[in-house]
This record gives sequence, structure tokens and C-alpha cells, in this order.
Amino acid sequence: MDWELLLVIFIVALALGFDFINGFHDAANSVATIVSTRVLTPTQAVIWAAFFNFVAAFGLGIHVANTIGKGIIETSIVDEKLILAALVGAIVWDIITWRVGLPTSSSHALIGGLIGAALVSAGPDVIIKEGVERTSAFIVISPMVGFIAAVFLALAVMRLYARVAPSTAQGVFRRLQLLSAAAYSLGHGTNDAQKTMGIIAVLLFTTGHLGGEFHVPIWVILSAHAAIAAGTLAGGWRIVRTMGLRITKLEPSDGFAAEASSAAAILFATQVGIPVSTTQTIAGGIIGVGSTKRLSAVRWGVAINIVIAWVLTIPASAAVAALTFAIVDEF
Amino acid sequence: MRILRRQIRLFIATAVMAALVLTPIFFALKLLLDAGLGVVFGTVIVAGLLLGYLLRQETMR
Repeated sequence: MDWELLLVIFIVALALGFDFINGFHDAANSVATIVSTRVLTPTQAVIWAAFFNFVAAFGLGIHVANTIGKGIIETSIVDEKLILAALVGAIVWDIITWRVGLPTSSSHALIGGLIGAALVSAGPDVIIKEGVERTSAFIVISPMVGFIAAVFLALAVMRLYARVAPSTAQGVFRRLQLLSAAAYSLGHGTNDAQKTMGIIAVLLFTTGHLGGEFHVPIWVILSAHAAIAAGTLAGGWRIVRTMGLRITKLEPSDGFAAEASSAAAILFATQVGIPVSTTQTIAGGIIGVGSTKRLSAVRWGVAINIVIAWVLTIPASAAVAALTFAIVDEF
Repeated sequence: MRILRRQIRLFIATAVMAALVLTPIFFALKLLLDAGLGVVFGTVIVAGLLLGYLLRQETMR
């Protein structure tokens, strides 16, 4: 076996590892509310989320994978070193922000990593302006849409349940939350796993392992979904237990409105091929639901941290990836 | 049994209502996106800020 093939296998494993960590880290977003309302135990909730993470492999398209694979940078300059640097940039930035508790997006870190490595490799001309502009705009649009949709849905729910006994409403929303959490997990699975698929597919394409035309092989689709689902199963329950206790102020109806509206926003972005942050989208949904009660009920400190993350993630991960590429390119 | 039937009716009504609320929002979003990235960006930001302002007025009363 030659060294080049070994390097490709190593980078594919690294990309799947990135996907695994994504599942590990984001599991809490989709199931925290059903744990806090005791609809499911943490273990059951994590199995529920992982199942829908994996099922998302079927029938939801690969538009996001295509955007990541050939819509951010010119494929002609992609090689093993560039993808390696992009992944290292994203992973290092994720670890730094995880240590300091900044809620950043792995997706944006990956895009920043691609941009940074490409800039050092071949200059600004290889950046596809339209793809970067669409992705950057949706960093703001997607949580804002989650917010707007959640406000309307929460208001509609309040109106529909104005004369319903709280115990009856509780029983209904306990079941509805199973559906909304499943929908969110589908959205998370498909949008996030597709970023990994895009990275792996472009690597295979540019190293001649994919034939003459760019496409995402079925084994890449299944392994990316399996990695994110395994990540959710492996470590999610620990985070879910913490999150489930922390978000006890959310009523079941609030959880339903926030999850359903965020799921719709993520699935919409997936269908139009735009990689979005699932964490930031559900944060927008939760802020929307909280705002219908009282604006001061929203923890604005969290919202400000999200804005800081918006501004910092792409340039910072790009810088780490650029530095990594410069070092790797010496060898 | 009566409570269960009522819960089933409410379950269906809520699911239908969620579809009726969310579908037009995302249909409009698609139309705005087709009109241009600047259009969808501006509209969503203005709508979000306006909604935030209105909620502030309502919830401070």
C-alpha cells in the first residue's frame, strides 16, 4: 500500500472522527427538552436521537455535501494537505472554544478551515464567492428564521390551548415532543453529516479515487451518518443529563415549538444546499419561544456569546487551517 | 377514555396547526431566496427585529 493511499485513509478517518464528535457534542440539542420533561430517560432519548440521525441518510438528498465539496473552493486545488489542514483548523478551533465555553459551530469552523487552507495554497481567486456569501448570510438568517418561526408557532400554541386544562396539554405535548425531537434529529443528521460527506467526497475526487465526475458514494453517505449517530450514542447521554437539568424552565409546549420550528429551518436549509449551524438554529428557536413570555426571560448573555461566535468562527478556524497548511506544505 | 380521545384530537389539531404556521413561512423564505440573497437577508433581519420590538411592547405591558 502506498503512502498516498494511507494518507487518504487517515484523512477520511479524521473526517469521520470530526463527525463523531459533532454527534457527541450536539446530541443534547435535540433531546434535552424531552429529558427535562421526563418523556424519555437520557439513555432512551439518546437512542431516539441517534436513530433519526442515521435514518436521515435516506431520502433527504446531498445538496449540502455538494456545496461543501464543490461550492466553497475550486476543486482543482484540493489535495490531501489542504483537506487535512481544513480539518485540523476546524478541530483545533472547536477544542479551543469548547474549553472556553463559547458556543461555536463545527460547520462554520469546517468552512473557515477550507477557506484558510485554500487561501494559503492558491490565493483568493480559488474561493467561490457565491458559495461563501450564501453560507455566511445563513449564519445570521438561519437562527433568525428559527426565532421568527418559533414565535409564531408558540403564539399559535398558546391560542389553541387557552382553554385546555394544563394536565391535558401536558399529556399531548409529551407525545408531540417525541415527533419534534425526531424531526430535529433528522435535520441535524442530514445537514451535519453532509458536511463530512462533502469533505470526504472532494478528497476522493481530487485524488482520483472517485472516477471522472464528482459524486458522493453510498458508502460515504452511510459511514457519515453512522459516525454522527455513533457519536450521539457514545457520549451524548452525559451532556443530555446536564442539559436536561439546566433547561428545566422550558415547558413541554415550548420545547415542541422550539424544536419543530428549528427542525423546519434546518430541513429547509438542507434542501436548498446551505450548510447551517444546527446548534445556533435551535438557540434561535429557544430565544423565540422565551420572547413570547417576556423578553427579559431570555438569557441575553447566551445570545451575545452566539453573536461573538458568529463573528469569530470562520476567520479564526481559517487562520488555524492556514497555519497548518503552511506547516504541512513544508513536508 | 374521554380524556384520551380529547388528547388525540388535540394532538392532531396541534400537528396540523404547526404545519399551517410553518409551511407559509418557509414557502415565503424560498421565494425570497429565489429573489436574491440580499433580499432574503434584509427581509429576515428586518422581520426579526420588528418581531422582537413588538414582543417587547406586548410583554412589558
